[in-house]
Amino acid sequence: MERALVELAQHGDEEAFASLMRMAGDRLMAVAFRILRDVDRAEDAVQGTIVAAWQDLPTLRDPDRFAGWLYRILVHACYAELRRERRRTETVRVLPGTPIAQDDVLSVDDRDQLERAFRRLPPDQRAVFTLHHYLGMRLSEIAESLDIPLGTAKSRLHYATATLRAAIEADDRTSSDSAGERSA
Amino acid sequence: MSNKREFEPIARAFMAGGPTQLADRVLESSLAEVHHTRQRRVLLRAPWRTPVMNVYAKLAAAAVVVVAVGALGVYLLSPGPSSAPVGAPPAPSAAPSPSPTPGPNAVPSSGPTTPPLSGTFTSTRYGISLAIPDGWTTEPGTEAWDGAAFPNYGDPSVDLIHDPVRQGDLWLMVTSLQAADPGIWPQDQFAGSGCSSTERVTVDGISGLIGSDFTSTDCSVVFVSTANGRGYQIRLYDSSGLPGYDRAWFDEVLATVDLRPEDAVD
Repeated sequence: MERALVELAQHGDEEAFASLMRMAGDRLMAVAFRILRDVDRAEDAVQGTIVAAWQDLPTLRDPDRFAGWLYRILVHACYAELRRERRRTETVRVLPGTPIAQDDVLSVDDRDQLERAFRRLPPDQRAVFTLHHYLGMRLSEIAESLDIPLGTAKSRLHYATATLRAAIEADDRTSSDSAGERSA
Repeated sequence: MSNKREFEPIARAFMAGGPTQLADRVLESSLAEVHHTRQRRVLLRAPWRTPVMNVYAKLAAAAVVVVAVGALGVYLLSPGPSSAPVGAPPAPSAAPSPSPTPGPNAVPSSGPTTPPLSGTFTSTRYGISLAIPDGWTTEPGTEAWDGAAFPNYGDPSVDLIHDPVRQGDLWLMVTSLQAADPGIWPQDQFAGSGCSSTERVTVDGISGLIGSDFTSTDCSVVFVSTANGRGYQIRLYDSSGLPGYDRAWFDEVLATVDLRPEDAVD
């Protein structure tokens, strides 16, 4: 069904394109937010992605690769947002309806450390990490989608993971040190 | 809490937080914009799947390949000058002409895959100019750098110069700090970076340090120096997988740097 809609949209059918975007919109937003860590910027990136996808859709050679192609446009829109970020006042909007609370896996401190470490990652590493850990894409799929060598995708994921792991382990050390001081 | 927790569930839990729905207003306004946007037209498109060829076409294609390979073989195996027809002017020698011996300050030339350094970027904020690859996009910084953290892509204090296609995968960055102690500032910069090794170099007559580690998320290659009490940092970041953007290429860029700290306005 998606293939048929893509082919129609490639020939200028706006209704078919709107149907595709209604199907993909939530995933685009979720991925954009996870890369950019900001709702307003994620919405801007998705909007840019939708318009760019419409413009460039006739150049897509294989309609079966629509999803991966769309993620590539989205990731580049996120790169553009990260650059545009520099021109805005730094106002990070706290997410309504997404309370940050302790869960079974992550404490509030853990999440805070990860958030800070993730924001320090270069955008290309943020993108690969998100596509892998949020969408569950295999590295080969990511490489194909972003049009990068498989080794590049692997190294981006490796360094992003190492950075975030180091952040969480540093937090663990700090926690155990202060617990030790309290008990001493 | 153990220091060696399993990372996969941590990553999944971290990624699970945040919105998962696109607001209707964003979708509707995007589709409204689409309504006023023309699609690109593809005049001639190569088929994604190769069409089935008939037998005659296959034979013809094979014949063309055989003739081409044969002609190439004859060309490569034939002796050079002696094969020229009698009376014909001598063919130009294929021997390379002597090249000047590189001096101590010469920089290696970049590979054929990198665009020529025919552009120029001048940072009016920081008082520095340098040659940049043809076609790269420049985005000057909007704020002065406070020197608190190792600057990165997206920081408002950096002048960003990036490949228009690879964007966040391939970029140069220039930034500068108003007051920097030449005795300690360059070394201090590398303390917070991922550059594993440093060496002393001279750029535009000013001594500085280069740190490089292309396997690091925080490094690739970085030049740090001070001029007239002002700190400068120039960085190449490359995770594009494209060949040619290496230390030699960065040296070529550095050879064009013109430091003018007296012109800085931050």
